[in-house]
Amino acid sequence: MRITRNELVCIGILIVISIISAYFYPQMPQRMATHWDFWGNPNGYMQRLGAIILMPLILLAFNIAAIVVPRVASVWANIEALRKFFSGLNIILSVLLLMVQYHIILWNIGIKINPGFIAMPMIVVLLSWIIYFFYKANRKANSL
Amino acid sequence: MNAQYRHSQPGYLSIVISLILIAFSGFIYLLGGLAAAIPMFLICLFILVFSYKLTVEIKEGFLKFWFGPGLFWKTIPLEQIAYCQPFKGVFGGWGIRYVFDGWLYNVSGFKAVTVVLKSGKKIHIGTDQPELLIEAINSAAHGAATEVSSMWAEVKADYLKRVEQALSANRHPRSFEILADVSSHLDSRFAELKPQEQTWENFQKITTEMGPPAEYAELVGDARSPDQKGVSAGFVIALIMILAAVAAGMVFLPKLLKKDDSNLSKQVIVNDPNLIGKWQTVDFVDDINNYKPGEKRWTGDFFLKQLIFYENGQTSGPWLWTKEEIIHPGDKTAAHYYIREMNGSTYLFFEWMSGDVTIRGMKPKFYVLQKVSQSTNEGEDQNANYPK
Repeated sequence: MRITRNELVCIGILIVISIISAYFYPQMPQRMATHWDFWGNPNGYMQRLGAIILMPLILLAFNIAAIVVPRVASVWANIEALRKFFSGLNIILSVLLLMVQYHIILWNIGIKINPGFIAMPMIVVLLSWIIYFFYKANRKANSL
Repeated sequence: MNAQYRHSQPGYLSIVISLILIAFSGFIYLLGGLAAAIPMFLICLFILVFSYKLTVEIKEGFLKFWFGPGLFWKTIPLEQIAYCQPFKGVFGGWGIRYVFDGWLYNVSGFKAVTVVLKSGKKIHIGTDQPELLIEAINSAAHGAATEVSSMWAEVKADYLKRVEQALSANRHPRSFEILADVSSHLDSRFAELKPQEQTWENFQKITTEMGPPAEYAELVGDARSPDQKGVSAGFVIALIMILAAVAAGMVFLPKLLKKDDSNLSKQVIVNDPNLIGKWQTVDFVDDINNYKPGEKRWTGDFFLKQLIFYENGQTSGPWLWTKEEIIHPGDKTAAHYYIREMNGSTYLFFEWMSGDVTIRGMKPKFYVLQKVSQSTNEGEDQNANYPK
């Protein structure tokens, strides 16, 4: 078994998110804003340690799942399309979580950027990719 | 005595995951201290040592397999083995687990062989070369097999080994099934031979007719998608450089985005004679219009009890001032102030830049201070603890 390029990219993103979280941790306030309403006003808060470690932990879980699942679930592993789907999904989610974590850090050190500017482009990319993937899969299925 | 069969299957995924978790325990150390990091580090180290490889050996009448350097092992006498076959079914995960009808011992992949004992008990052993292991176990377990059978087993095992090597060169996802097909085809060719035809020459002829092992790899082609292909050194170097640039950008971007607050303490003082003097706190309100002289809304103690504004832009607290702004160089905030005349008294409404405002983005509240003296040098400052 070898690590693929996509998996290596995701592991790299996990390392980056861990480094920047550790770097900015001392600058964070004790109570950090972690959630925003539709208009970009914070409406959810967490203690500093929990807030800073949450995204790296979620990304770690994603990475383990993305590496383990295709190798364990042999039925899925044999379906190339599903393997590609999860491989791509993991990269997009990794970038999304990195951006979300960076936004949380920026906000809490006083650089207030509307979360929509960070999250919306990534959500659009994620949805576009999912729609494109299923559109392609549907065309293949119809051609059989 | 040399082993009849010995092979170690590396647990690459276990190694990678363990190393990632070990690195992560370093991160935990930074955040939570040594006490939080050590248990995670030790658990990961144990997983790494336990599962980095699974070795299977057939020697001196025993089938033996063990994890890592030999932390856990199991020995089965060959005479107890009825037969051995490929594992049929789907399983997931690694380690030692009970699946379907017997215990599974595995460190990587989802291939395994099932060893059926004469008692009916089944043991599943994970391996990356199931065909060879089956041949080896069956051959060793049936030591009384005829010389012809042994000869055929040797020829077949050699051919399958070469096919497996050819397939492993491009890591085709279905190489296990292809090997099973080739094995089955070889067996059917062997079964077609009459007893008098079961000679070394005919066995070689069968393998020759089956074609060169490399052809199987050429036939199946390189079925891997680009992301499954091997990771080259160039790719790794490029990735490291890009990620390092991203991390560096993320670290330095806030320094560029944050306005240069050093100017706050250097800016030119614009005089405001109405502000200079001694002010006493009388209330703390949500909005300027909510304050009515003589009606105190705030029920608790005031954090800021009084403040003196001096002519040179200094105050009795940590703030600096200029016309329309009260600046806190430590917090890097600039608050507005408003002066109102009410019922013959002068009131100062001072925007209070607390964490609710600077961190949580809430609307600022106002300290209401009443002017008690135009002079700046009478009385003592009552504030013991200003926010630094």
